[in-house]
Amino acid sequence: MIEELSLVLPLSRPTETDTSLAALVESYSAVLFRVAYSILRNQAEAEDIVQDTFVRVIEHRRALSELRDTRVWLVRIAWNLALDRRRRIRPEQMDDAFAQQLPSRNLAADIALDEAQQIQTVFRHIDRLPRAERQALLLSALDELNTSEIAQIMNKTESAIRALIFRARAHLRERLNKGDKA
Amino acid sequence: MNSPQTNPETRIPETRIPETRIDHALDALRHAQPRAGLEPRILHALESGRKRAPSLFAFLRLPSLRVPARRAASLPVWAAAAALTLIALAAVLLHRPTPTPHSTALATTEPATMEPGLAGGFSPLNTNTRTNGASAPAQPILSSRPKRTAILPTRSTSDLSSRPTSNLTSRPKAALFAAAAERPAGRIAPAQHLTPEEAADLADLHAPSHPAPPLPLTPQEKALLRLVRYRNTTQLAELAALNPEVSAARDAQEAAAFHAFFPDPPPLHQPGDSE
Repeated sequence: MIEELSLVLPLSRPTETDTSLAALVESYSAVLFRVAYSILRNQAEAEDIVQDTFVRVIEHRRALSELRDTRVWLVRIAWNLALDRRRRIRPEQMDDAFAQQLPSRNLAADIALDEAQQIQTVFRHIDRLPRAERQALLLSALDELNTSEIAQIMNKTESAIRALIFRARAHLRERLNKGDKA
Repeated sequence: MNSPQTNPETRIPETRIPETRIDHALDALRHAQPRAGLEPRILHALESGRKRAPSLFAFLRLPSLRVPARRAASLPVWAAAAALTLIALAAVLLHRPTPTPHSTALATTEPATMEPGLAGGFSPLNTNTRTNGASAPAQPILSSRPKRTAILPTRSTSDLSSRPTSNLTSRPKAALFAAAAERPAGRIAPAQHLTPEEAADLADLHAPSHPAPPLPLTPQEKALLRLVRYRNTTQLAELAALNPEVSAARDAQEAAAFHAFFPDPPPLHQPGDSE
């Protein structure tokens, strides 16, 4: 199916014609979806972001050949688009139903419901973290980007990223503990 | 049946440990999967977007004006500043007074308020400043005009007398009109364009102010005024003292008391009397 639709990017130089949009979509759409989904927690919105990212690729196709790391570039586009989209959607539009699907289907209903509620609580606390800490934590949670790539995306140093992730987890732990005692 | 594991040390269920809960939530994000067929859908959408006929207004798109996403965050600030500037400009333009025929006629007779170097104006007040060589600040003639008409009738002669030279109050109106008629007609409309009624109005407008300013009160009037205004009984004596008869009687009484206390000294002996 993808091969049928192979859209060879109309680049000016012959070497650049190797890069096809179909290959990019096939290679990176999943990771881009997860990047967008970590921020938006809404499948439809995340898929929109992936599509918008590739629209940007078409618009900036001439810059593709000059890129050192296409993956980081694409993730950065998707990340910024998702952050922008996040400002426009209401929190209730974020799909928290998926949290109820996360617990294992083998669990009893009451335990599964309890787990789903706990996961939702964690997401609520993540949303209340300082912006930089939240972003670093979410990018690190993807497990597809190393610290230097996260640093490139967030325009920070690697040590700053490590500190942000550490602080984010500490804050999250502290708030969850406080919530349990309350 | 699966049951949640428990931490043997704290007897807290495994799922209640914050670290575990955080990892669970992050795992959920990590393993999120798009709906099936995401790639074909995206490719279809992109292809249909590329094959779409170009808009008739595509030539209006200016690629150089496209703003990067990072800089786009500052656009609302600039847009707000530009909008405020436009609103202020529009407000200034809308509230600019439009010249009415009457004000135009008046305005043409006062060029000195418009430009310092302009040919002589009709207004005697302005000729005053011109003869002194004073450089009055240039003001828009239309905006300054209503202020002057509002101030002039209440201006007192003392204000006029405080001017450096006042050859205007003694100058007859007829001479003013004649002088205005003799002036060359440049950007200034000659006085003969005025109707008699307008000329009379103008003469009234530029005539020395009247009524005369109130004279300062005499001490008696001031005392009376204070008494009427404040009804202070202690001032009654002060007011009574203003009566010449009462004051004369009081003076006589004081003189008698003085003489009673200080009797007249015996006459001095002359040096030649004792011998």
